[in-house]
Amino acid sequence: VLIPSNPSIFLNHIVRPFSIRIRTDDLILFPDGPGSPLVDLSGATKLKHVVFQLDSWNVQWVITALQTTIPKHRDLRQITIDVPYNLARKTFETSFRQANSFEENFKWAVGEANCEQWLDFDHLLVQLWESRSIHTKGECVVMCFMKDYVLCLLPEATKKGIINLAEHQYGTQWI
Amino acid sequence: MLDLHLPAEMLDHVVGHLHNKPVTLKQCCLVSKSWIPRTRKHLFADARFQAAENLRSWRETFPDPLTSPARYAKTLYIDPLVVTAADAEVDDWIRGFSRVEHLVVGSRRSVVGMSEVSFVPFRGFSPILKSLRVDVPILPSARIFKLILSFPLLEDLAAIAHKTSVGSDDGSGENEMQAAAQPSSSPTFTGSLELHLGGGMGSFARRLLSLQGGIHFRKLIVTWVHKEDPLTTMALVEACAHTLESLNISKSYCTSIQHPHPHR
Repeated sequence: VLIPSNPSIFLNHIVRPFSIRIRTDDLILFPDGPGSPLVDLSGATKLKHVVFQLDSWNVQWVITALQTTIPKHRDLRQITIDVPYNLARKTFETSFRQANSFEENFKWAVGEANCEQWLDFDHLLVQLWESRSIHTKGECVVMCFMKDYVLCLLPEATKKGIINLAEHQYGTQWI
Repeated sequence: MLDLHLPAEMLDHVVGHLHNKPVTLKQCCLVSKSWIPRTRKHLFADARFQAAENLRSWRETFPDPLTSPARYAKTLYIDPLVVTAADAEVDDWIRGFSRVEHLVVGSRRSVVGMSEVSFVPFRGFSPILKSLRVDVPILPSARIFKLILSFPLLEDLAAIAHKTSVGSDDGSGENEMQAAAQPSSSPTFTGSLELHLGGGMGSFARRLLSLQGGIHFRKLIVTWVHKEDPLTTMALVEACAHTLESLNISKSYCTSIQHPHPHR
């Protein structure tokens, strides 16, 4: 079994540095529930770029990982969130079932709890940007049809112009 | 005639501009004997053996590995199933590719047969190999690892598979343990590591982490498929903590990670 040397992680005992909760149950990897494994990046202080590709709109695991980069990681230049095609398509298919505005439908499809996490992520991006002399820029890689909607999940970062939107470039791989 | 008036470097530069125009390069190859090496450098830069006919044709055209244009190849693509089926004496021709820097071992064929594939002939065939990409349906972990260790200058490593075989690997009875001497030092591993393993990254990562010289990757690209993959990622991040500059984590959309079973 691979056991990280970080003192906050022990078998059957988790103490997450930025959490108000302390769990001592058996859920070693998932302090925030399903889909939120703990990634401790505190030791990797030379990190310049981190990319998180999502499988759902739950970004708690991203927030948790990024919180471990404060305050040592002064070289961190870019944080990228990648929303893959399958997730975007599923979200849009779900949102079409509602008869509200596009933005409301989108937020409904993303889910209230997830929207709140995105606001936390938004706040964290701003915090990272403002706290360092070398700014940490945010980037969202999405399908072109989703660009406008994702921005509503990151209002503060959008307002301050610290989030960049990029479109997926699906290239061909060999074989 | 041009050779008499223009320096070789200039001719190389001119031909270099045609690197992605194979038809023109073939015509250039006919200009004079002195043009053959500078055009072959581009014509044979990428060699692909993804069908049995490719290999058969190559061997018929260039029977002598020492004089074949294999030495111009920088990137080599091999389907191990095809190669093994096509030529049992695979060792002969592969030694000609001694200047290959990038090796891609890939197959999209069925998993049947992977357990029979021998990687012994490929071990250490190019002492200057810098990157290795293995993209197969099932990863014979132990044998692939021996292949990896046979390239001392390896910097970049990618392993992609739907499944990984476990244990001592796969039953082909490979006398591989004895066939190749174990290297005295492990590769440098200073480039990128990409892992996307359907059966989980754990066993493969453990082998990497147990290397004597350690790992020093600057870029880490992982796809989480198995419940243990986050923990494995953390171990890799820790091992490369002093060199890691880029981290890319993908959660597999189709196979969402579930809670691990409690250890009671």
